Amino acid sequence: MEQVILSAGIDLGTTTSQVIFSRIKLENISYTAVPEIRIKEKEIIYKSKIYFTPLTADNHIDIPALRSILQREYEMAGISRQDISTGAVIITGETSRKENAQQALEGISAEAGDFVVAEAGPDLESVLAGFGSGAAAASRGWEGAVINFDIGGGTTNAAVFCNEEIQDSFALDIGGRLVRLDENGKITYISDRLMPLIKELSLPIEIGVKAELDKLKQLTDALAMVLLHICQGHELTAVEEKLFINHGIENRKYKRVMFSGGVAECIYDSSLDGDYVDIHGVNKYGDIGPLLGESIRQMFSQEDEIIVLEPREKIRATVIGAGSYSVRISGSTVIMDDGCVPLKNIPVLRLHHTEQEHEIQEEYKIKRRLYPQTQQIAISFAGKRAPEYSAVKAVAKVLADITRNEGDILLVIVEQDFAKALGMLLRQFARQHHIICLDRIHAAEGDYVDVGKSVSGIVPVAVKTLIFKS
Amino acid sequence: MKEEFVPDVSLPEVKDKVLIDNPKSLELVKRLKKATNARLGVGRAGDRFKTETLLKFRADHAIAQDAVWTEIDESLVDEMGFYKVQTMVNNKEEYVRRPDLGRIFSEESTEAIKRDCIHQPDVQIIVADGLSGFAINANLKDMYAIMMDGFREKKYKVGTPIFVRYSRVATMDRISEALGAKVTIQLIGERPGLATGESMSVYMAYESSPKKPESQRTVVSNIYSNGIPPIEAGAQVVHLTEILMREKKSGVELKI
Repeated sequence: MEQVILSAGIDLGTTTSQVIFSRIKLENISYTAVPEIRIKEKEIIYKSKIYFTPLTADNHIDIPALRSILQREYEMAGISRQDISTGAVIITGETSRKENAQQALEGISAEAGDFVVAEAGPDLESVLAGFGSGAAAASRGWEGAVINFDIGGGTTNAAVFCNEEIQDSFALDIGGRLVRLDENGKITYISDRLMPLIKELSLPIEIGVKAELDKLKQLTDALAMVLLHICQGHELTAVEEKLFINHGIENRKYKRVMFSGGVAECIYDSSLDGDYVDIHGVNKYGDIGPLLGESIRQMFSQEDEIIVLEPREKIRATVIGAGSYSVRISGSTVIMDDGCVPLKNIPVLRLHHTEQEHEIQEEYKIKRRLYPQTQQIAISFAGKRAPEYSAVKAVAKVLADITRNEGDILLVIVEQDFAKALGMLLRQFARQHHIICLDRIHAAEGDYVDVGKSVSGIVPVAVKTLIFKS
Repeated sequence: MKEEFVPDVSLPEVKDKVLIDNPKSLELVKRLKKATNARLGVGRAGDRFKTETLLKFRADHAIAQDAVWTEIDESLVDEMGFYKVQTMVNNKEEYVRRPDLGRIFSEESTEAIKRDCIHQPDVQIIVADGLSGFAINANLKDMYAIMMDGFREKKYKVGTPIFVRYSRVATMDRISEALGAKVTIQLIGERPGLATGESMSVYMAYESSPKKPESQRTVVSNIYSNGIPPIEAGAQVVHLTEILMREKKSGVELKI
């Protein structure tokens, strides 16, 4: 038995924006009356043109322009928003720090589809790019980690994977468009975030000045050096440390490196080498992207200790990550109420102690105060593998009891496989509530979840770790 | 003094050990082993198994044999108020040799069932020892409890629960026929493999009958602590019972 769902991925980057549609094939591999749904295949069925992200004169996201891009692309793909069951809009890079990012997400939801979740935040972008580039999949075949650097116009998003699991993620202010040039090679823009580094290198790079190739190269070499030092586990200088967004990293060594993002198109293409003898050759896109790509290629190819892996996708890594990897599927035996979904941006209340009834009551009471009484929340806990009936019954009773005076929907998410049993009990004990009880999903404290309509008995869930956190 | 004890080779975690000498990547062999219950990464001594592998193999085989020859703990079904009957089989040896006798009852037994048990139930629960006593001992209690709670909630008329000694799957057809049950649910010990001796199956049928083919049955299998957890299987059986009651059919006729 096979079922197909369509997923949309929309990436609004600092420089470029794009849309992809993928077809996700689900298959029931069980021979018995307990379904076991697996994702059989993910296929990209449509890739949009790569657009320049529409910005208004005051550097805001131009929402009406964005809408018309989306309308056009959905039309070209022959897909209507009703066909889309999952997916994500991700606002990335410097764009996500623009104040109207939230408005943009809301502004396009009508065009994008019902259960296309909105996400932003540099760490999340890193993770999605790492899935889209193929770094996560590549990490399965080796011992140790694979690090993916997704280098776009505004930022570099790094994600570390080990056996397909995310280990670490971070972001840096390193990008191809942090310095921009006009057609004559005159510098028109320098990001504030690069100024300390330019000062430290005492480079004559200033707005209005005609750029010298070797000076720009010194800058891109210095940026490439930061990435190399991260891989080698070197101490970073104070100026280099300042390039990190939100948080730094632990010192570790990475032997296997993959690059994606727009700049990666220039990293892997050594045929471009001859183009960079003068500033006009470099100035193909009116920025330092190609030069940064060359610096990275040169610097990493000299290192015998480091293996540079070829990505599956480069400039499209993030959008493909958003379209194909942002949504997880629940276990196959759950309790679902499709009348209550989609649910979006539901904060997770994580219970760490579920052994004793009074522990649940106390922990819940303390944590519930963080949210308004009327706010829908998701209760999440790990649970035991093959738990005893009496224990699950006790938990169900307490959960029904403590949520008695809350809204319509009781949403519970556990990690181990017992949601159908727990949900059945919740239906008995919490009769006034609609019950949604899902398993095989990890949702941590501080996460937000989106829950979509069930497909063949399984439920798509997006667990979002960071929303506009900065 | 720890040296006084011989390690228990029957423990499941013994199989997790990588026995290849000097593996190039221990981490990757472990990862590979996690993907399957098969005995991968066991190395070799010449062209034979290593002693540890051989002992583990024999221990697992012994568990499978014990599962077949172990009687179920009848105090368990007594406590839960089960009615007890026996097939035409007289003892375990005969049970293993004569599958045909494990499917039928004597006339006296059939009459006794008709005389002592509730007729025309919506749901008839049967527990059968099958080929693993361990399976019933390990999983019955929790699974039965959640099923009963679920059926009570649905207000189904539940028949007298029946335990059948020396039973094959087909006894459910005879009991269903004798009592005129709508949905018959049989919990039975699975033929043990080398992975576990505790796995249980559930067979369900709508108006289960010896006149119908085997394809009348809907199956849930692999119920044990490392497979489908017993309570989750119980909840799924309650869910399936609702479907069988509504659709008035089961097995391959039922598209789920």
